[in-house]
Amino acid sequence: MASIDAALTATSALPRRRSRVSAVLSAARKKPLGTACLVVIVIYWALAILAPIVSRTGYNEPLYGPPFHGPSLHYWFGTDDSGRDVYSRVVWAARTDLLVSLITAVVGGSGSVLVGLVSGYFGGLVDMLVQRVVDAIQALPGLILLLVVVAIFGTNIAIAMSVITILTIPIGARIIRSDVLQLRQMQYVEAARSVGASDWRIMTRHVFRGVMPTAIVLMTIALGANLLVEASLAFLGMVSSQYPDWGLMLNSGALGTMEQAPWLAVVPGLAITIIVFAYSMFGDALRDILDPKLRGVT
Amino acid sequence: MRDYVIRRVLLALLTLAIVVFVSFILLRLTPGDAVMQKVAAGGLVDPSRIAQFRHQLGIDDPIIVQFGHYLNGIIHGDFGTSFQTSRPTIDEFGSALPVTLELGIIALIFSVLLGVPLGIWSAIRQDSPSDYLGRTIAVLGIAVPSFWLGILLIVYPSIWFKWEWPRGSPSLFTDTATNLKAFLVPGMVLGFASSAYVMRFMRTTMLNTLREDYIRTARSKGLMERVVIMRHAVRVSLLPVVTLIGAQLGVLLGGSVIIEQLFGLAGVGQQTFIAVQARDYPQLQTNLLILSAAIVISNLLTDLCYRWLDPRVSY
Repeated sequence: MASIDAALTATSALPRRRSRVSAVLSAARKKPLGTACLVVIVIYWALAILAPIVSRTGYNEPLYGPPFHGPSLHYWFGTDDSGRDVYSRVVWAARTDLLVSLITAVVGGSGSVLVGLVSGYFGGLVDMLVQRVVDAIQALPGLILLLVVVAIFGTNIAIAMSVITILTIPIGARIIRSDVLQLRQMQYVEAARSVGASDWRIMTRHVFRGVMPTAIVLMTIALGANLLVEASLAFLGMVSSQYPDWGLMLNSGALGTMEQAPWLAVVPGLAITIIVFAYSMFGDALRDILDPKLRGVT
Repeated sequence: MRDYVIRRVLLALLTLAIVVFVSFILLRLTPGDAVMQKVAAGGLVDPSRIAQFRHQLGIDDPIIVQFGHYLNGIIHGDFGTSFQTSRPTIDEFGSALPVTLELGIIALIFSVLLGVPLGIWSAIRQDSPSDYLGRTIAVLGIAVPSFWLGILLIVYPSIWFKWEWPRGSPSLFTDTATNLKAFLVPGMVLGFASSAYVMRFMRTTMLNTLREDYIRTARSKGLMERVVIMRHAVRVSLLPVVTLIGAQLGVLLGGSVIIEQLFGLAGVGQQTFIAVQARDYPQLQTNLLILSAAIVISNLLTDLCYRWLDPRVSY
């Protein structure tokens, strides 16, 4: 078994590598909008990582300028009620928002894969029970559940992230499960079973690889969705963090301030919209390339 | 069909039972217990009053007994008493429901009115500039946070036109004009994100339908393209969209918290938000339970409807 695997890998290694590069290039040509969105995503991450360099002030530095100074050449996005530089804060906030969505999407997506694999592969009673729990989580209205959990455990961001992660699991788990059900019928899986491969080996080597493209697409789409959920929670003032956060900058309590200084309302919302748009469009392009059958499901 | 209905109803009941358990267990997870929370919040200090209150809430019983009481209460329509108003939580919920219902209905109508035509338009002009435009609008609908759209609609009209949104929630029946002034735009903001999902889904199902044999037959019979699209393709493609409406309920309920909070509408969303701030656990429990149950039931109904409308579907 292992020697066959090794032989296959050895013979296909060289030509495959070259074709991968050209495959990426041709995919980029075919999906110009998706590629442009990838560029936007890279820029966002670069700004977040380089925040100490590209921002003008620390993330919470009061009286950088006069309070409520409108956007100008010096204060690009204006200043807020305590004279903090909005531009710098928007850049710092990228760290919070991007990281929260990345962690919840990747951990939640992995959870989907795990739950989907177990449920789909073993079937029977396990599947039945797992699916009921998945149903129940899906039946809970996400934002309202988040509010209830926050009321109980406090506005700690780690708790909010855990709940967002759990809420990410069901949709993906369903899709992965139906993938697994199909893969299980595939001849190569049957072949592996007939040569005596263990469940563990079939799951990790054959079925897992089969669902990988779907999992990657699901995670990409969850990135944008989870960012929006976190921002909504922050907007409601239900996330306490010392770091700036786009949703927090638009906090519902500050509505009066925004009527006085409308520029405060524009930039953080635009920052959210652009990145969620980029994640979604990139996810769509990725789905068309990797996993066209997901069209219309996500 | 009968077996299918029975199976689906049983599964939904099972899901519902899990939901009830979750809403029950969440309240027990409060640090300290609900009474100590109330003591901290409201300044209830007399120890005998605390014990009495604990007994009144039934939280001095073993947890299994408590769950039994809770279930029994729900079956008899007793969902507990609000910490804030000392009225039954179910009555409080009932008084807030009409606002959210109106908001949700406006949102649904808007999302279908916008999403369905856009989806059809995009599908029949697949890969043309107008298709790209339609799809971009749809992704934008998903990407724009509803709270941001709401903020812009509150801030800018007030600066430019001195526009004031009516506060409070005027009745639809006695004061229709003010009511619509207060509800129409918030409802549309709420429905905007859903319209994007409706549009994408409509487009996909239209594209699939347009590749069906009977559409080719209709065309080869020499029917006008308009007739082929409207009579044959759209009617069939609308079916799956029905299922999406059921699935949007959870999104709409979550969104209603934000929209009601922003526009000052006293619906279930705002009630839940206030209950969070007041740590009114019985109210939160009731709202979570009823809203989740609504989602379970609407999912069940859409599944059944779908099966009834399109007998080809098998599960």
